[in-house]
Formats: sequence, structure tokens, C-alpha cells
Amino acid sequence: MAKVQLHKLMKRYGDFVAVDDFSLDVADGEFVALLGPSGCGKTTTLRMIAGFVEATAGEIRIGERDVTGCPPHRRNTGMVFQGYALFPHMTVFENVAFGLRMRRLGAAEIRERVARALKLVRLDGHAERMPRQLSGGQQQRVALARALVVQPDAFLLDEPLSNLDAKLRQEVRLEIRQLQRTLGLTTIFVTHDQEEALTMADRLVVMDRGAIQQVGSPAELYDWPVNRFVADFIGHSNFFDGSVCGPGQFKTDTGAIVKFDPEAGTPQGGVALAVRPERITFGNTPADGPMNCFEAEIEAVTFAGPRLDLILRCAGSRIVAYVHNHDGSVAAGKYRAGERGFATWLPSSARLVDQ
Amino acid sequence: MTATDGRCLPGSVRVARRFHLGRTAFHVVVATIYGFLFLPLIFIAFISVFSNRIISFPADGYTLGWYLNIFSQVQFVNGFVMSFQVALLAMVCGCILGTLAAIALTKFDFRGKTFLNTLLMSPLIVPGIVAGTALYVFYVQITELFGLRLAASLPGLAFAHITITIPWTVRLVATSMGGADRSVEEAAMNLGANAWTTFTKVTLPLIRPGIVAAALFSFIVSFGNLEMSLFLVGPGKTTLPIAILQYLSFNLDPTIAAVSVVEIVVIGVAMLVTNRFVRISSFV
Amino acid sequence: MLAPATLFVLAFLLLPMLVVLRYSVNRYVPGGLMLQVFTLENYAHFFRDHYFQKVLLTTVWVSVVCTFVSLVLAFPLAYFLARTRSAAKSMLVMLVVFPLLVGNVVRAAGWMALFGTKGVVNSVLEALHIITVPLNIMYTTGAVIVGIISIVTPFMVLTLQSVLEGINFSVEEAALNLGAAPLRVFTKVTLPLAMPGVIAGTSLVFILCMNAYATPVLLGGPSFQMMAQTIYDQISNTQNWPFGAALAFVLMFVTVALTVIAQVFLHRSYKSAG
Repeated sequence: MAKVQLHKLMKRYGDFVAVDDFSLDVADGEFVALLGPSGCGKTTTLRMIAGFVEATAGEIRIGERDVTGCPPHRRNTGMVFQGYALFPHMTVFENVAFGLRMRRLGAAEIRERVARALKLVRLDGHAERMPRQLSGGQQQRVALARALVVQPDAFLLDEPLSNLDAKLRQEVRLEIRQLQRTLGLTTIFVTHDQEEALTMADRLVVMDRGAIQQVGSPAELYDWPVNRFVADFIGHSNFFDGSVCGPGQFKTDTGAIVKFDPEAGTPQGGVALAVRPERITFGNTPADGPMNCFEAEIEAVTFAGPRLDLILRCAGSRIVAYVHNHDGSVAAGKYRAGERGFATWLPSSARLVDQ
Repeated sequence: MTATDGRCLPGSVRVARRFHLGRTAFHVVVATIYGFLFLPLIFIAFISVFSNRIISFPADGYTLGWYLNIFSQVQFVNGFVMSFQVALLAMVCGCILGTLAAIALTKFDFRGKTFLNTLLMSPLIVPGIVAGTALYVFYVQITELFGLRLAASLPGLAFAHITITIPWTVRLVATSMGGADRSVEEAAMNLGANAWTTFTKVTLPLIRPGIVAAALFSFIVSFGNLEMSLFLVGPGKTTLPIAILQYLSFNLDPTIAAVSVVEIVVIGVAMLVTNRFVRISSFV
Repeated sequence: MLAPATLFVLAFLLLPMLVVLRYSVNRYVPGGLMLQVFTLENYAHFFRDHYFQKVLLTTVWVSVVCTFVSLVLAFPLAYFLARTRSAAKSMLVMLVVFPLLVGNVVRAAGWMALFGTKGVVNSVLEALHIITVPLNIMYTTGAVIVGIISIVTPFMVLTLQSVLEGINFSVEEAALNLGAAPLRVFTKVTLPLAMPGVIAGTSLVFILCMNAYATPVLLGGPSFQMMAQTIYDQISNTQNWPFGAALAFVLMFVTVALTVIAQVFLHRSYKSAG
């Protein structure tokens, strides 16, 4: 394994800039997720690293090697494709052995390494099957084994879980994470699923319209989003538009004053205040002191299993607050539309973000 | 790109260049093959405007006069009229037969469906010259038995051409039946339409593009057919391709080139019109 | 609803075929009506007469050459069409279909313009002072082969393209990613996966070549004979219907037999390659 360095990477198709000024250092053995909506340039970036897309400008280094102009078959990356891209005319064994044969290894070594790789993904005994005889999950594990058996310098995953059903996805997430840790794989993972990215990666790169929005650990991104896009894309946020009107004071466009923690620094440009729905509590009694507290009316209630979503009209805005389903009482009609009360949250739960 | 790692970089740049070169070379190859396919068409169009009667390159001059000359060549005028009539007949009959069959094949499930489907496709598989021979012999037999003369007649040619349009019409209409959303029919019936109304008001309009394409394609297939018609024509009852073939056996001059261009244009127009209804690339 | 079309095909294709099959075992009486007997002498005639065997042999080898060359020409074009993301793709496919629909006579005429003694090829070569005496290109086997190849290549392209469209592009990328150079990606992945198309395309094109009529007549001249021409002559000129009928069935049988053998062979080599 090796570190991967991307320096000022850019990809332009005619007038359309798919990826712009993308710089990122992935440490040896680190798991980085590229996260963003479809069309944000995350897949293009991954394909530039693999060599399928030629960078218009910038530099890609894998380990000590500059591979920017290298054709894909000389880059020694291991890629897992979205639809797995197994060779339909080859057995599982031949699929996994393919990369080793291209590296002209001896028959004995190939057999041994393929066997080890298949064991690693718990597919020993399936070596002679054809890909179409396997379930989606099994095909996915063949794709993993095929990419890993060549001992790639970088492990690239392009939405590898999107074709699996929800239950299986949970399992495979853990499995990939474990493989990545035990083998110390330098991994770059592309996904549009924020939950996938949050639970699996060491570091997240949030992208939008070809540009990096924010890079950081899952907790950093969730708790300290730098702009409205990140705050909105990772988890849910309530936004108040307005401007800072004093130290730790934010005046919304509807005229309400919301307190926030001034320690958190003030972003440049147009700002908004973001508050996570789970930080807001709704109750009958007003809170005092430093808390933000506004009169609120329940507009609608949605039952979502582990929690209840309250849609509140509050401080001239419509916001969402979560109520956790601790004891089953929320389902029993504890909250009703039309009910009035108070929405409260700590100033430190409010984040100033760029528009 | 800055040269940092001296050993890998020059090589990788070279490889990248080779890749670009490879892609360009590939496009050149593709263009050349297109050129090869179009070469005869381009040159036939080219010599149709040569002013010299005996073809030699380069031309002495250029003229459109040969196109007027076509009208004085009775075999081409007759051939064109004959081909046009046959193609129209084949188009109408082939379309009706093919559409009915296609609807039956896609709507109902029955035993021997695959066999019938293969049977309807068989005119595509049997070589034209063999089918033509067979039909000719068959027509002569009919004349002997019933005194009905089919060889070298319009109906005789039309029957032959209808046979070869059937596989195309069945395929085209069946494809458009498959593509049409069947739940729309169910919706019509759910809203109270009976089977006949559903068919005429919903199904038929849905597959109309397919039927139109089938019609035009039948026309093209019939208009250009040579092998099957060879035996079925007679003096004064010749199709355009056969008239061209016979003329070409003796000489190649700008007149015949002009005739060929007329055929190219007829087929080109039919094809462009077809493509307005159904994307030709999606069914051939 | 199926009956009209089915009856039509039965009446105007299968029934006539049966009649011809019957004719092929009748006895030919020169200048008179044939005799309704059951004899295999027409088929025996074919196997005794070296002239007709030579015609069949010519037909077979010309067809094999044309099929092979058209495969080589069609593959890049089909691959390009299957992979292109150009907005003009539908147009580019139409450009392949168009010559096919124009028919072989007109295209043969085009080749005549190119190949004649005063044709394009000779004029260009003379102008470049490469030759002083015009080459004989018309009425050669080479001219026929070039002509047939241009006729059948669109069929090959369309057949291959439909199969290549179905191959997931990412499979080729996976092979590249695993270290296979482009040529190896082609031999190890693309070609084996395209094999059904290769088999279907070569079968179709081989059948078309075996039955070629207009091209050999126009470009091969009177001395060059392929089967379809010979059958036409027997029926139309010699009026030997039983023998012509027998030739038609010999042609069909040989074509089908060779196609099946080739399919089996290709299937095998494809299995062992995979």
C-alpha cells in the first residue's frame, strides 16, 4: 500500500468543468470517502486516479510514482466497480486470477493467492462457479477479491454497495471496513450515501459541482459544516437566513434574534444559521438563561420508527425537530398538529455557515 | 506536469501520447471503412454528371442532361413504374398481414408460437435466388394446372415481395408492441372501454409509429429486391433493379448512373421518413 | 389473426420450395417436358461434373474470404458504434444501413466505375505514373471479392454492434485496472464476449456471400461463375429445371452444413479461449 496524492486535479469536457482544483492527500492505510450528489465529480475523480479519465491538468501520485500520464493498466490500483464488472465468461477462480496472470505469475503462486483471496471474502468452495450463478452479495465479494489479490497500491471503490439490498449493505459495509483495516488498504470510496460515508470512512471529502466543499472526519463534518451545502447534505439541518448582528447574536430575516456560540468563528460572505433537528427540544415550558427559546406550533407530525419528526412553525420559519422514541409514548399521540409550546436549543448547537 | 520522478515520468508521458495516437488511428480506421462502404455510391453519383458518354476519368465536363435522358429510356421508366406499383402493393398487404400476426404473437400465448414465429421469419433465411427459383417453378405449375398466369405479372411479383416483407413487418410491429406500455390498455378497460374500443382507440395509436415504419421499410425492401424477382419478370414487365442489372451487363454510362442515383434518392428519402417514426438504428 | 400471414408464407414460400424439391428428382428431357419420376441423377450429375464442382468450390472460397475480411473490417466499426457517446450515433448507424438498403446492383455499378479500364483506379494510377498500361481489374475474382465485401459488411457491422452494445464497458475497464494491456483486454475479454455476435455475423454473411448474384455477374464477367448465377442459367437459359432445382438444394445444403460446422468450431475455440 502507498499514499495517494492528488494535486490541483482538473477535468474539463469542452466547456463543462467536471472536476476543478482538486487537491487531496490520502495517507497510507487511510480510508477516504468522496461524497456528493450525482454529477458532483466524485466518480470522475476516482476514474482519474484509476486512469480511465485523463486529467486535463494536475498531478496524481501513487506512492512515490507520478502516474498522471500512465495508462490504467500500469497504475496498479485495485478497483471495485459499481456493477462489479465481473468477467461473465470466466469462473470465479479465473476472475480473481486475471490480474495475477497479467502480472505473469507462476501457476502455483496464482493458485495459492487466489485461494487465499477467496478465503478472505469467504468464498472458498465457489471457485469454479460462473458469476451469474452467484448472488449479488457473492458477486460483490468476488469483485473485492479480484481487486485485492493483486496487492494494489490503492484500493478504489465506486459505489460498490448500491446494487445490494438494505440489510446486506449493512453487513458488507462492516466487512469492507474490516478488510481495509486488517490489510491496511489505502482506500478511496465513492458514494452518494452519506450514512455509508459517515459509518465507514476515516475522512470524508464532500463535493459539489466539481469542487471540494469540505474535508474532515465524519464528526467534524457533521458538527462543524463550513457551508450550507455540507450542513444540508450530511444529515439534516434547519436553516435561518439572516445576518450576524452582534457577538454571538444572529438576526433572522423574519426579525428573530438567535444566539450562537461566538467561539466557533465567523465565516465570510453571506451566512446562515444551521441547527440540527435532534438538538431542538419541544416542550410546554419555556427555557431560561442562555438557551434559545421560541414559541412554536406543531404543523405536522411524522412517525419515522426510532423517532418522531415534528414540523414546527417557529420564529417565523418552518423547522424540524426530532423526538426520540424512547418508550413508545410518542406513537401514542403525545404530540398533535396544532399544539402549541416552546422550541429550545443551546447556542452551541447553532452553527454559522456560508451560504 | 512537472518532472519530479525522473524514471517513471518520461515513460508515462510517452505512453499517454501513444494512447492518443492509438485513439486517432482508430478513428481514421473507422472513417476509412465508412469510406469503403460509400465509395461505390459516391462514384456512381459522380459519373452521373459526366458530360462524356464513354466513361473515362477525369471527365471532359459536367452536365445534368443524363437525368433528362432517363425519360427517353422506356425500360427504366417502365421499371420504375413497375417497382413502384409492386412496392406499394407489397407495402399495403405486407403491413396488414404482418401487423395482424405481430399483434397475435405479442398478445396471446399459445402452443407452437415459437414455431410460427420462425416460420414467419423464414423468408429472411431462404436465399433469394432459391426462393425465386421455387416461386417461378410454382407459378409455371399453377399456369399448367389452372391456366392462371402469375409469372411475369404484377400480382405474381407482388406475392413474392409480400412474402419477403412479412418478416420485417412482424418484427417491427412486434417491437413497438413490446415497447408500448400495456398498463395503458388496462387503464382503458378499467375506464369502461370494451376490447374493440381499447384496440382502436388505445393499442393502434400506440403502435402506429411501428406500423408506419413497417410500411416504409416494406417499401424499401420490395423496391430494392433483385434476386427473388429475377425469374418473375418478363419482357416489358421488369423492375427497376433488374432493368439496371440488364443494362449494366452491356455497358456503364452516365445514363445508368443517373438511374442509379434516382434509386438511391428514392431509398434515401424512404429511409429518412422511416427514421422520423422509428429510430432505424433500434431495430435493424 | 396469424392465419393470413402464415398461409401466405406457406403458399408462396414453403409450398414452392417443396415443388422444387420434387422437381429436383425429376428426369430432364432436352427440348421436351420433364418426366415425373424419382431419380437422384440430377444430384449424381453434380457430383460427376467437375465444372459444377469447380463453381461450388469457387463460391465457397470466395465466400470464406469475403466473410473473413468483412469480419475484420466490421469489428472496428461495430466497436466504434457500440461505444460512441456521440450525439450523431443514430446518424452513424443509419450511414451503415443506407448502403445496405440501396441494393447490390447500384453498388456494383459504382465499383464498375472504379474498376474499369478507364475507371478511377486506373486513371489515378496513371496520373501518378505508377502504371502506363491500365490494369485489368474488372472481370477478375478480386473485383468480385471487393464488391461482395462491400455488400455484406453492413450486415456484419449491425450484427456485431448489437452484441457489443450488450457488453458492459466496465468489464473492459476492470481488465485494464487489473493490468491487462489494451491488446490483451481485446483478446481476453472483448473478443470472447463478442463471440456470439461473431458467430451470428459470420453465419449470416457467409450465407449472403454463398447466394451472391448481382455482384459476380456484373464484376466477374461471363467467365466467372458462382452458384447463384449457375442456378439462374440452368433454369432460365438451359431450361433444365430438374438440374437447376438440384443445384439450388445442393447450394442450400452446403451453405447450411458449412455454417453449422463453422459455428461448432467457433464455439469450441471460444470455450477454450474463455
